Amino acid sequence: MALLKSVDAKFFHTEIPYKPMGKYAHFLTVRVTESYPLFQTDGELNKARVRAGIRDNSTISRLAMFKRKQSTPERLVGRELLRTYGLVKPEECEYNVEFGMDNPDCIIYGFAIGDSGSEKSKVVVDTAFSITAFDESHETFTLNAPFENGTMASKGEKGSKPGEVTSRINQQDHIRPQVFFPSIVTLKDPTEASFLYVFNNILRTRHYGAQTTRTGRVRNELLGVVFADGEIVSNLRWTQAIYDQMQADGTLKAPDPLDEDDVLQAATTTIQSLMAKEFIVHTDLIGHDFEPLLTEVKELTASEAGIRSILKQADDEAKAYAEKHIGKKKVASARS
Amino acid sequence: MPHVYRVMLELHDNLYFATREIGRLYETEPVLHNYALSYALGLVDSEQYATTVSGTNGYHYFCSEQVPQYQVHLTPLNQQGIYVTPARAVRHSTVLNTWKYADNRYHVEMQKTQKNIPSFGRAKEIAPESQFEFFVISAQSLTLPHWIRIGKWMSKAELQVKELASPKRHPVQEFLFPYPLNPLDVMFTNQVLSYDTINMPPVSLIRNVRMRGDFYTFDGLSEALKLPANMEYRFGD
Repeated sequence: MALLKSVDAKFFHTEIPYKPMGKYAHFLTVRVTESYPLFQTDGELNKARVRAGIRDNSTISRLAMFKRKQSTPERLVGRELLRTYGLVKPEECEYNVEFGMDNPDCIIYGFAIGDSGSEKSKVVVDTAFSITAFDESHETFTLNAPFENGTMASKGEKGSKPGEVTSRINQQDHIRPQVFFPSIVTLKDPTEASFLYVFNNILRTRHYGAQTTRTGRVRNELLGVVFADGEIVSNLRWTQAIYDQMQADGTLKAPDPLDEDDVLQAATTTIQSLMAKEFIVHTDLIGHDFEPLLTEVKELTASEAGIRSILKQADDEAKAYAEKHIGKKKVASARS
Repeated sequence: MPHVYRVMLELHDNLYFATREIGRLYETEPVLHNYALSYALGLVDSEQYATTVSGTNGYHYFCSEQVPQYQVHLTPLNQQGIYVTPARAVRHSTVLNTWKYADNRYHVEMQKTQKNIPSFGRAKEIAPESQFEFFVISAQSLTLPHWIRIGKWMSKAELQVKELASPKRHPVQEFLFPYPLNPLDVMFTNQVLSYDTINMPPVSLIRNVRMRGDFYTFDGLSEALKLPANMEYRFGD
C-alpha cells in the first residue's frame, strides 16, 4: 500500500531488509533555537574548535549539539505516538529499560540488550555545529531562588535566621534564541513507512537538550530530502559552506542574530553545490522539488487516520521483520 | 602489480571507541585498527567488492550475540587480494566528555547498580578535523566511498583517496616501516625484527617496525615509503 504519491517507490524497500542494502534517505534540516536551550556535559555547554569555513580557514569555537542529543528526543516523540495509538504497551517496551524488540522504534532506531542481541540503528545523526561562533551564540544567566517576598534575605522562614542572605544563586550558560544548527538525519534502508515515521518524528520534535529546564525549544526547518546510494556530506562541511556563503553575502552580522531567511537561503544553495560534488547516485528533493512531498507528509501526519496508517504500516513491517530475523523473544533474558 | 591507495581520513565529528577502560574513563587511542577500517570502508560482506559472506554469519542489522566474526568476515577480503592497514594520526586533538544513560521519564534517580556496569563515565574522544592516514592494497582497482562512518558513535569522516603511482616490488631486504601494522598480518610472511607496541583490542598493533621481507616503493613520493608486501588478514588458530 503506497502512502506517498510524490516520491518514486524505487527509493524504498518493500520490507525491512536484514542486512545493509545501500539505500539512504537523508533529511536536510536546519535546527533553529527558539528559546534558551542547554546542550551540556560536565556543567559546560558543548563546543568544538573547528575551522570557520571551507574558504575561511581561521579557527572558531562553535556550539555543538551532540548526535544523541538530537536522536533521543526524536525517538521519544515516536514512542509517545506509538503508545497514544495503542501499538506499544508501556509495560512491554521502555526506553533503555526494556526493549520490546518488535516495534518500529526498536527496529528503526535500534537497541542493545546484553544477551538478547542487538539491532543496529538505521537512523544516524551527526553532531551539529552552530553557524555562528560560541561567543556570540550564548548568554550567561544568573539563577537564584528567592524567598516568596522576592528577596534573597530571610525573614525567618522555616529554620532560617532572619536577615540571613541565602546562597541559592548560580550561573549557567544558555544557548541564545535564533542560533542555527544545520543537521542531516540519515535513514538507512527506508521502507515507505519507516521513512514517514522518521520524517514525522523530525517534524514533531520541539524540545532538545536538558528536559528539566523547559527552555529547550528548537524548531526543525526541513529543507529537503536526498535519496542516495551512499553517505553524503557532513554537518560540519555544510555548516562551514554556509558560513563562507553568508560571509560572502555580507549576511553575517555579529553580534546580531542571523536572519532566518538568509540562513535558509544559504543552506539551500550550499547543499545543492555540495551535492553536485558528490560522486554517488543521488536524487535531491530540495527547495521547489521538496514542496509536494512536504505538503503530502504534513497532510498525512496531521489527520488521525493518516498518522494511524503510517504507524500501523511501520508496526506491521517491524513485526514481520522481528518474526523473520529476530525470532521468538527471549523474554526471560530480555528482562534480566 | 596491485593497486595501492594512500587514504587520508578527516574526522567531521567526535570519534569514540574504547581502546582501554580505566575505571570509568574510556580512552580512545589516536590509532584506527585495520579491522575497524575494513568494516567502515564497507569492504566486509559486500557484493560490490565480491566479499559476500555465506549463510547466517553475514553482516546483519540484527546481531543475536556480541561475538565478533573477524575471521569469517575478513577472509573473503584475502580472496579478493584486498588489505587495509591500520591508520596513524597525522594530526589530532582530544576532548573529554561525560556520558550517561538517558531515561524515558522526566527525572533520573540513581539506582543501585545491579550489574557491574557503570551508568555514567567519561570518554576521551578524538576531536573533529583530526586527520589519519592509512593504506589500502588491492589486486583489482577499488572505488572507495567519499564519506564513511566509524567508531562507536558512527562518526562521519571524509576520505581522500590517492592511488600511488607505479608500485615497484623489491625482493627480501631489511627495512623500516614507521606506521602502525597489525602484527598477525605481517609476521607470517615477513621477519619482524623490532617494533613498538600499541596496546589495543582485539589485536594489539605495532609500529616503527624493522623487518625483513618484500616491500613496495612508489614513484614521485617526497618521502621514502617502503610498504611491506605480502600482508593479509591472519588469525591465531
